Order: sequence, then structure tokens, then C-alpha cells
Amino acid sequence: MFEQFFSQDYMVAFLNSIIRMSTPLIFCAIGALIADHAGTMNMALEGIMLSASFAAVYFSALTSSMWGGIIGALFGGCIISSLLAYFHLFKKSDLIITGIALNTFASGGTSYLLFLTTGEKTTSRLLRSLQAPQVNIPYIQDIPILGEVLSGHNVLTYSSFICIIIVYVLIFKSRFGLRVRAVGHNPNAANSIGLNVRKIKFRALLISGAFASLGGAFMSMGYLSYFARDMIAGRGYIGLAAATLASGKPFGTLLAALGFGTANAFSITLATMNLNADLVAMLPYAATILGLVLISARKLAIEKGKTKLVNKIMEEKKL
Amino acid sequence: MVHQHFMLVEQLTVAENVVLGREPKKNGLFDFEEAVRITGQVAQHYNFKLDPRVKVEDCSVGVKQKIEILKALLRGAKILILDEPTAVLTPQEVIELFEELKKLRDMGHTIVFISHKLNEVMAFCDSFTILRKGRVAQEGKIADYSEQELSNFMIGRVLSKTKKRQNKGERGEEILRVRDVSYTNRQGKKLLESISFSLCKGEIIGVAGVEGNGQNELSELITGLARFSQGDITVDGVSIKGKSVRQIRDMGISNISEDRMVFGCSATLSVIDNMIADRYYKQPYSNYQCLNTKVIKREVKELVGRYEISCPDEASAISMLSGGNIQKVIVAREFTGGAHVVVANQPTRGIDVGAASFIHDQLIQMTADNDAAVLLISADLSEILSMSDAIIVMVGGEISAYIEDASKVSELELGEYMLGVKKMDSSEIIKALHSAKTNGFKVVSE
Amino acid sequence: MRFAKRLLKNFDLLRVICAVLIGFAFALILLLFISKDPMNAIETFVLGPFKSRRRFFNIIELMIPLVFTSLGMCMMLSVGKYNLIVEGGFMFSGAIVAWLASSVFSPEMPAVVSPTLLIVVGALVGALCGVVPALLDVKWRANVVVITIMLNYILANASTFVLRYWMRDTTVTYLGSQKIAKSAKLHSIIAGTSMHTGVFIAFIAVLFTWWFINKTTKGYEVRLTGSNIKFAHYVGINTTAAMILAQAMGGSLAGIGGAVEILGKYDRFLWVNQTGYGFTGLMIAVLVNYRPELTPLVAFLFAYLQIGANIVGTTTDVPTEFVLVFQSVIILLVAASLFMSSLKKRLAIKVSMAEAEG
Repeated sequence: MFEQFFSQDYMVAFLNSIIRMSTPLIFCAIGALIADHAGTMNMALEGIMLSASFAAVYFSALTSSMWGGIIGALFGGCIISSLLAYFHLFKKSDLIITGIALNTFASGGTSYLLFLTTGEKTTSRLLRSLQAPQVNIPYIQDIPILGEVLSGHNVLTYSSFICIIIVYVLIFKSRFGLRVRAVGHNPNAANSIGLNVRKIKFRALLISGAFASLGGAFMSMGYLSYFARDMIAGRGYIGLAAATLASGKPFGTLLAALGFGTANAFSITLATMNLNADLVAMLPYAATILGLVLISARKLAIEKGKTKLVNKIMEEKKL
Repeated sequence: MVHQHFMLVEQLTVAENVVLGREPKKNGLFDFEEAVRITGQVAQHYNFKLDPRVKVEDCSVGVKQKIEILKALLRGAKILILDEPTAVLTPQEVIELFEELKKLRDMGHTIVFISHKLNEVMAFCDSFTILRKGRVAQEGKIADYSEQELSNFMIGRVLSKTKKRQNKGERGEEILRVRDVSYTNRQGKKLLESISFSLCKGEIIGVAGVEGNGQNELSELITGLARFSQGDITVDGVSIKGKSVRQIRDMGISNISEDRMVFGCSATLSVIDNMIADRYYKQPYSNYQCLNTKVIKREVKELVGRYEISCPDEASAISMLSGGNIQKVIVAREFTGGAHVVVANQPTRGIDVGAASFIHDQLIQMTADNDAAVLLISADLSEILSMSDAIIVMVGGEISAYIEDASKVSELELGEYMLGVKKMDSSEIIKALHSAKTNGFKVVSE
Repeated sequence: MRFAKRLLKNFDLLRVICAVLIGFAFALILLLFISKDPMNAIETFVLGPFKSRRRFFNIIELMIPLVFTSLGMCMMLSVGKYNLIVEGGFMFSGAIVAWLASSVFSPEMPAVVSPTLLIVVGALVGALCGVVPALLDVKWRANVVVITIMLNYILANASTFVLRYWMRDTTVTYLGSQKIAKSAKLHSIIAGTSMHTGVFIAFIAVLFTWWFINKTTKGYEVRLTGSNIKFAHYVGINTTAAMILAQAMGGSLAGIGGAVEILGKYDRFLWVNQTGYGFTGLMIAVLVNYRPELTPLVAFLFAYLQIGANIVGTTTDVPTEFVLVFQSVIILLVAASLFMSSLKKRLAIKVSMAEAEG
């Protein structure tokens, strides 16, 4: 059984699937990351991705072009994220409740639109939608094993890796990013020097939604070639967890998302081998909980440590 | 404008904070090196010593203040408004700040220095405006007036209220003893330094002082909300060290908090729920973990009547009431729970005259039969003078004066103590404490 | 004038009613677009659930799990914690109870004792589920929302694990457990419908939660901690204990819900995905503003909508999911604190002006 697993073909397929599985998570985690820096929590990522994946299929079929699909996905995702931003920033509603309500909204809304546009209740196979193309990277594809693992992925998969760099630049190197971080960490301070806190948060949430939308587009234009009901299946929440785990660092986010992707691929592989897939599937979640607890425990310890140190110094001075 | 509480983003670097809102750009991106250069340049120009590359959270309070000033200067500010800038600084940092501000003045900037510390104003300012109760009380050149005169302007004439309370001359036994208590906050600033006094049954001690000189901390320590690092506090001879808030309350201490909407009540809950917060677990308000609604309702109704609280009905949310009535609910709760010591922190601030007068009468009633004692913390001098038997003046976390007989002090003299113009030395304070407490009160002197 | 005053006093109710009406209008518009025979679809949706006895009791039956999960969420939210474990706790308790009911409990056991025992087990399992994130929160201040969402996945996987490896019935083609012992099941109370005694348990749970929150000292501590934790600390309440207790109770209510659902409605354990009852419970809890005594009303509303949508889905050409849009629009509007705030302000001004005059 294990011999089969360690065979070369199997390994290649396995590594290949890791990259494939990670793609939507990376996009989504980027979205969560941006919202996090703006001091908000994007609970609606699940709904954003879902409506984006539907819009991708619908618009690519409508325009018969891949770009139509991508732009449609951005549009579909941004509807949900702007609703979230509007209700949170202008109607003072709670982020978590609004996020969960919007996820439900997207789930119901996409099923409704699916039926309205195709007459189908579960999938959009009848729509002649397009897929994002696969890309073979010259030179790399000729390297024996590495080529097979790294080359031949969907164009969106490569984009997700590029997006990590883009988001790093956006947050840490651009003027907008600086303002987003200022608004996220201390809105009062940002307000006192004349920054429009609401506007910046609104934009950050929209951009957050746009990245997550690309993840949604990948689901229906790369991972599968059609839209299926509730096809995001919790990836939005996992992306959120990945970003929380990385506590705001883009490359950490990438690693966390890849970790989830690996665990995902692993559990599917094991399931085909008739191994105990349910237990393996728990691993990424358990790891996240452990990671989150460790991170917050460390923060707490640092805080306490500082106080203790100060007290100690004061006592010594007294003596 | 430099706020009393800094408006800085702790997680960003000094340079980023300084240029925020008018960031330099290169190739469409934020140019950090340029920001560092600008910050360094401005800092050098004004002779501020700081490193633009470190994160603000790693800077000392003094440096943070400089960053705030730099922010304003970079935006071309000609007039700098500093709101209590020295409140958070150590003495050395204060000297440094003054040096820098003087340089700014010499370079042609105008500095508005908001402070209640007279000695600092005297040492640093050229002219002054004194505000009292929202009106200009006096303005002029510092050089033309003495510290004494300024102090008198600040205090003004306290309307000669009839003294509500007559000194009874006799007191009950000692109930609260605070001995050599010091307290350091999380940021490492010493907020209380060797506080000692004692309180007897039937007595009201007023704690006078400008707000933020350690009074809140003192009340938090006595009620167990904060833990003291040194010294001891005893109630009826039993130390409260290490005891929980509930245990301390059960020992007979109650507390009117200075911030009534944060600590004094829960805005969304009903008057009933707010009224029973200190006693719901006791007989007869509950039996076997179940609330005895009938008893509670009757009791609350009775208290609402006795304390003349006007509310639509007892089940409505407390936030529907006026400030004065909310405070009356809190007073009713804290006074009727069988307390021997009431720590009343700003009990009448921001409420209407009628309610304030009512609360004063209740305070006096509390001590009338020598059963309870009151520690009245207030920034309102007339309140302190008309209510107290003895007065403690706090400045910078220390007792700067102990006035044994409140009727023998004028408001002007008290004001001079509060503003740090006059100060008793420690031997005087100890002497006063000794003569006040004949029953063997010892002060640990250094 | 008196009308304005009364409106102002019941403004929260007015808001909810307006939100429901807007949501309803939304749903009708959706039906209008999608159906070839919209009038028929709307009629089926609105009146369908009341057209037969069976359908009406379907509503009641669907209400039961919703009441339990919304009570659970009320407990969580009463201490201000978004502890979403209700979702996973419901499912996992169901799985454990089903496992015990299908393996340990034999058909010969007395009929009342077995379900009682099993429901207690469900409560304990649920409480455990609720306490874990609560502890992580108070001890290390870990993000409760993310932690509980992750825990929900773990619990869902654990439930499938229990199903697949501990109680799978290999004689059936689908993934299902062994049959649950007859003696363990909750009885049907009305012949010809699937109404079971669980409805009484749900009723008791509502009463108990209401009683706990409003009439006990511990419930009082929970309320005080949730509404203003600084004040609670100031009057000497152990706020940590209150938070853990509330979340343990929230979890156990969900656990009882899972047990009742399995024992009342199913012959076998069949869940492989999260049930979604927890999230619906959150929505209901928000709608009733965390007041347990009102949960049955809103749970009935949600169940009615769902059953109506189901009937529309089976008898006409429309998919049932449009009802989710309806529900989420209501929540969006109610959760938005500024929804209708200008009207409230106007009313308040009018009332106070009149009071000043008279």
C-alpha cells in the first residue's frame, strides 16, 4: 500500500494536487489578510467566493471569453463584500453576524440564479462556460519530476503565487497599505491626521473581496469546469483561519494555505487507499487551533513579561 | 494639537507615523527611505533625538511625545497646543521637553501649554489665561503675577455655602487603615507613593486634589479592583491583601465609582438588576441559588422611593434615566448594602444640583450614628470643604497635606496645596496624623 | 401621540417586523421572476404549510432542533461570545448518542430510561464541546470565532469517523449507522405524523433557559458579565466562571438538541456534513435579541419558511434555496443597528416635544 504511495508517479500526482488544492485557499487567505490589516474580519469570504464562482461561469458563458468570466467573478464577489462593508461601516452592524448572513445569502442567491439562468438545481454543466487555460512553463516543464509538478497548472494557480507578492507590496510598500495598517491598528490616530477611516476600510474590504473572488473563479474555471451548489464547502473559513494563523504576514499566509492544501490532498489520497481519512482530515484544523492558541498565548506572555520586567526594575530601583 | 493620549499607530515605525497622511512616493509606491530622511531632517532641525526606523511601540513615552510634536511640525504647524504634556513624563523627560519647547519658541512657534501644574507654568510660560468653569477668569503676563496670585485666580472664590456638616468632635473606632501603600501601573509609572492614613467610624475624610493625581488608583486599591505592590490596607484590623473584590465588599467596603456608566452600572439592564448587583447572592434576595423576585422587587421599590429616584418603572433599562437618577440608583445600592466604609469617588460630578444635594445629605446620614465612615474623593473644593471632617490633599500620587480639622482651612490655602504651591513636609503630615488618631496609629517613616 | 409613544417603546419589535416584511417582499419578488406560474408558487409557499396536518407538524418538527440551537446561541451571546460550537456540538452529540443507542442500548431496555440517559449523555458531550473553546479564550485569549469554526470541522469529521468505523451498517448501500434501538427512541405523539416527544423537551428547555437567565443567581451573573464585564468585576462577580458556565450551558443545549433530533426523527445516523442548524440558531438568537422565551416564535417562523420552500420545491418548478435569501435579508436588516434609526430619532423627538408641552 505504501509502496504505491511512494512510487514516482504517485508522488508527482500528489504534489500536483497539493498545488491545485491550495490555490483557492491562497486567494482567500490573501483576502482575509487584507481585511485583517484594516482591523476588520471578513467573515463573508465564503459567500464572496461562492458568488464569484457562479458569476465566473455565468459571465464566461455569456461573453464566451475567459476574461469575461474573471471580470464577472470580481463583480460577483465584490457585490457581497461591498454589502458587508456597507452594513458594517455605514449601518454599524456586527461583522460576524453580517458575514454569516451574507454567506447564507450567497448560498441561496447563487442557487436561485443558477436555476433562473440554467433551469438546473445542482450544477451548471449545461452552461457552455470556459475554463482558465493551463500554462506550461518553458524550460521548467522539461525538467523530469519537477517539471511535472510545477508546470501545467491553471493560469490562476500561478496568479495566486504572484498575488502573494502583489499583496506584500500593496500592504507593506504602498501608500495605500500604510494607510490601511494605520487605520487598522489605531483608527483614532488615523482620523486625527485627517485620514478618512471609513473610506479606507471600505476600499480594503473591497480589495479583500476581489482577491477572494479570484479564488472563487478558480473553483469554477479551473478546479472544476462548472458551478455546483455550495461548491466552496468551507474554504472561505479555512482561508480566514490561514490568515489568522499567519498573523498578518503574507508569506506566512502562503505557507499556512499550502499547509491546508497539503492536508486536504493527503486526506483525499488516503481515502483512496482506504485509510482512515476522517482522522487525517481533522489534522489541519487541529493544527490551526494549536497554532492560534500558541500565538495568542505568546502575545499574552509578552504582555505579562513586560509588566513583570517593569515591576522588577522598579523594585530594584527602590532597593 | 498634541493630545493628552497619544494618537500614534504603535505597530508602525517612527518615520511612518510622522509622514502618515502625506507620504512621499517613488514609482507609485511608498518611499520609506525618503520618509526616514524627512523625519531625520525635521528632527535634526529642531534638535530632537530619535531614531526614525524603530517601531513606536518600542519607544519611551517621552519619545512618543516628540513624535507627536514632529507630526505637527511637519504639517507646518505654527501653533502647537499641548494638552497636559507632562502628565505622563518623568521629571527628567519634563526638563528635556521644556528645553525643546523653548527652542521651538525661539524659532518663532507659538506654544499653547494646557496644564494645572502651576510650577511648570511659572517656569516655562510667558503669558497665561486661566479658565474656570468654562470662562476666562484671568489673563496676563506671568512676570506680573506671583504663584500665589495665580493660584487664587484658579481656585476663585468658593461660593460660601453653609457648611453642611458640623464637626462632631467624637469619633468611633478606627475602621480603615491605609499604611505606606505604593502602586506602580503596567507602564512602570509610580502612581501612588507611601500613602498612609486612617479612617474612623463616623468620620468623613475628604481627598482633595486635581484629577489624575492618584485618587482613582487609591480608590481602586481599597476596593480590590487593583493590587498594591507595597504596604497594607486593613479593614477592622484585617488585611485586604490578596482578597477578591467580593471578599472585600463582604468585609464592608462599598464604592461609588468615578465613571458611573463603565463601572457603576450596566446600561442595558433594568433598574432592578442594577440595584441588586451587590446583594443578589445574599439572603433573603436569593435562596438556593434562585433569585427571590418578590423580595427583590419590594426592596427595589422601597429604595426607589427612599432615594427619590424618578423612573418610569423599575423594570425599565437604567439608561432611560437621567444622570442624576442613575447616580442615585448607584448610591442607593452602595449605601444600603451594610457597608462600613464608603469610598465615594466623585459622587456628584456631572449631575444636577438637586441630586447632588440629596447625595450629600445621604453621605452625612451614613456617618450620623457612628456606624460607617466615608472617604470622599472629589475635585470640587466646595464639596470637600462642606462635607469633610479632615482633608487629605494628593499631588502626584503623594499626600502633600493632611488637614486635621477641615473647618480651619480656607479654600485658597487648600488650593495652594492642590496646585503644589505649598506642601507640608513629611514630619508635619506625620504630626497631624498622630494628633488626629490618638489610638496608637503608627506611621512607618523612612 | 400615544401611538407614537407606544411605537417608540416597542421599537425593537417594529424593526424586526419591518425587516421580516421587507424580506417577505424580497422572497415574493424572487418567486415572481423564477416561476412560470408565480401566483401558484406564492400561494403554495405562503399557505402550503397549513394545508395538511402532516405539513403543519413538519414545521413543529423542524422547529425542535432550531429551538435548541438558538437557545444555545442565546447562552453564548448572553456573555458576548461568538462561540459557534453549537453547530458542531449538535452534530457530534447526535453521533455519540446514535452510537450508544445503536450498540450499547438493547431493545429490551426500559423505554423511558434509555432516551433520558442518552439525552443526558448528549448534554454532557455538548457541554464539553462548549467548554473547550471557552477555556482557550479565557486562558489564552484565542480568537473564539475562528477556533470554533475549526472545531466544528473537527467535530464534523469526528462524527463521520464514529459513523464509519464504530457504527456503520455494512448491509445497506448508503453510509448509515446501525439501527437505533427502538427502546431508545422518542415516541411519536400524534399518529400519522412524525411528531415526537422531543417537542416537550424543547418546551422544557425554553422554560429552563428563561428561568436560568432571569431567575437564578448564576444567570444573573451571566447577564451582568455579558452586559458590562467591568461592572460585573466591580461588584465582585467571578466573570471568568460566569463566561465558562454560560458557554458550557450553550454547548449542552446544543448537545441535547442533537440527541433529541437523532432519537426523535431518525432510524439511523446519516449526517456526513454540518447540519447548518447552528448557524440558523445564531440568526434566530440575533432576531430575538438573546431572549430565550422568544426563540420558539422565531424558530417557528424559520421552520415555516423552510417547509413552505420545501413544498414549493417539490410541487412546483422552483428550487427551495430562495428561502435562504429571505432569511439572510431579515438578519442583515436586524443586525444593522442603524436600520430605521432615523425614524426612531424622529419618533423620540416627537414624543419628547409633546411631553415638554404637556
